[in-house]
Amino acid sequence: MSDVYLQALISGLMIGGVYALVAVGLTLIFGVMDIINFAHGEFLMFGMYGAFFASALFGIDPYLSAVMALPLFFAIGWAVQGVLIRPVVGKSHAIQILLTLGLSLLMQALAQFLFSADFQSLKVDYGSATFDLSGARVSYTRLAAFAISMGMCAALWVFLQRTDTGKALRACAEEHEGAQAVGIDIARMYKIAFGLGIACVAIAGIVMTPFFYVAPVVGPKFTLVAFVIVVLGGLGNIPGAVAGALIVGVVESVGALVMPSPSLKDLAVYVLFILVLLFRPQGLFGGKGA
Amino acid sequence: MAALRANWFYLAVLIGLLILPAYAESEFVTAVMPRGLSGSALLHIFVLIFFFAFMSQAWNIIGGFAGQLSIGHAAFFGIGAYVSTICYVHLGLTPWLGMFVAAVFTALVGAGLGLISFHYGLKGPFFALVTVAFAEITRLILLHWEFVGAANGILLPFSPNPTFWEFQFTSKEPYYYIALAMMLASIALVAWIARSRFGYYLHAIRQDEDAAEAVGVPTKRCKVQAIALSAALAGLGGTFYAQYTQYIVPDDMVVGRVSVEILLGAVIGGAGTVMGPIVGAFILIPVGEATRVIFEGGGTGTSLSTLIAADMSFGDKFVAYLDYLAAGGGGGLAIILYGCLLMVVVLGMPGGVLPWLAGLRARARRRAEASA
Repeated sequence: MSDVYLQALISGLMIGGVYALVAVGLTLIFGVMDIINFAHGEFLMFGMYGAFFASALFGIDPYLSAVMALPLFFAIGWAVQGVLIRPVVGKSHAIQILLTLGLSLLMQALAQFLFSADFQSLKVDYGSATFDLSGARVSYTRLAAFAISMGMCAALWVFLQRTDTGKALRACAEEHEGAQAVGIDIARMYKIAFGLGIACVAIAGIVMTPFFYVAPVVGPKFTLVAFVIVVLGGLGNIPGAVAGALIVGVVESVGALVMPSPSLKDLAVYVLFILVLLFRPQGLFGGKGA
Repeated sequence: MAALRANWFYLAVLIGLLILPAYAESEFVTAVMPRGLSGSALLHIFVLIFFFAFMSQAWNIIGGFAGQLSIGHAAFFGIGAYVSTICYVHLGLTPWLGMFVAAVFTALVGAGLGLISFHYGLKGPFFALVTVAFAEITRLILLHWEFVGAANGILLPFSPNPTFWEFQFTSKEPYYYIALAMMLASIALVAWIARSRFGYYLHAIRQDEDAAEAVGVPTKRCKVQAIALSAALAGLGGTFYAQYTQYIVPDDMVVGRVSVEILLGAVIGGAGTVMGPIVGAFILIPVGEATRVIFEGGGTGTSLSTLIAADMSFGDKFVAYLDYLAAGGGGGLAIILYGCLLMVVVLGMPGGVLPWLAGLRARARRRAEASA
């Protein structure tokens, strides 16, 4: 394999790891609540701004911000579920989509109002450090983003498999009424699911800040990519989402090589998305397995 | 009775709109409108209202009547603008004809998208996602296609003394009447659809597609026709926009925000009703424009980045930041309001403003009858 392709493969896997965390948040929310969250990427954007301001104003390292973001964004997700999303649970998909579209519009414009439309970037001393991996340059910050995201996905998986709360969440995903019948507090499970989903996507945003710009408009791209991954991996299927994310990451970075212009890389992803929706809507790995 | 009163109301509004340009600079208008808004600035706002009402009405056919949520109508809008502009710039075809070329082209694109999506049984959120992806693909193609100016878009050739055939006017008045005519035509078309067999089929599909299919409604064909018609209108709107602004660029037109703005009027006014998109546009645009005028006074002149980097204590920075926000911050307040309105309507009056008002009236009548 030539060096450029090896480089593309490795960068693709690295960013794919972060996509995995974004998509796992989305698929968890969908799996448990059957809600499609069009504002998903906006929570990522707010996570990024949080890390940016923590660093710019107080010199807080983004990785420390990521740790602090876990309880903070869990609480935000919990509150958003309780106030905004709860009334539309069980309503038509159109209503849910319109509500979360409204939320996404609001959050984007709010970010523009509060933080201006300027592109910001968070600078850390170690931002440009790289190491050599059999001919490919890998930056430490991208490796860290990949490792933290994968670690979070694994931790979430263990949480869902091993703990009582996790099992209750899975029971909700399987069968709402059955779960209620055996005494699971559904309303609480929804808040936990939304809180966890939002915490995942916010952390994914934060670990990207050392190498990705921050702006009010970063969200929609990640929302769409997360949808692509979630459909690819099967709705509600967490391991499927991780596999789908790595595929999308690689398709994107190899796409940047083979397409006439690197910024056309997303085209490959969206075409893949439409093909999967049309020919294999249950995803490559089957749905709701988580 | 209520319907009759509503018709008189609409007729009065229509007459008012028809004669408005003649009085746009009159003392009365200047006195009545906030901040003395008059003349071409006033007409511009009405052009925006008519245009958004028209675009929202276009969306209403597939998104409202057929109940197939499209979040990608910016693509049809953008394609329409590009087709007529290419015809105009490269072939010298007048936009008056170019807009129908655009409509036919976007209808075909819409029908293609519908045929593929509905053939494979995409419904609800999956159809919505395909429309989002379709719009993004359209944007990326336009953004990289050198022939149509790529990221720079196309600046329409400027004529100092435009003729009618160039679809360029030095005053706002002709645009005003064209946009008004387009809006009225879209209302007439949708009113006709609502009473036609086609409209009943769409209504049945929206209520319960499987049941509609079971009683013999050709659901797939109807949905494809609905999206083609909707796309054709959106394409016409694209031509109007291109001629009005004289400048088309992918990143201003084929973006998610525009797709959402197109559906906003219909959803807020009442999706699947004839007058919903019109009412929605008449609510949204004035609210948005007023917000922009009142709260976005131009800012304090300092950028947020300089503020962050400034050599001040945190407390001083915070006070300076509050000043920055008070002067309108980075803008976007109108869109904040739009987002809030959308959520409030979805949560509080899920059918939109018009059906909600009708419900209120029906309840008041029942109460009056009960007490009588």
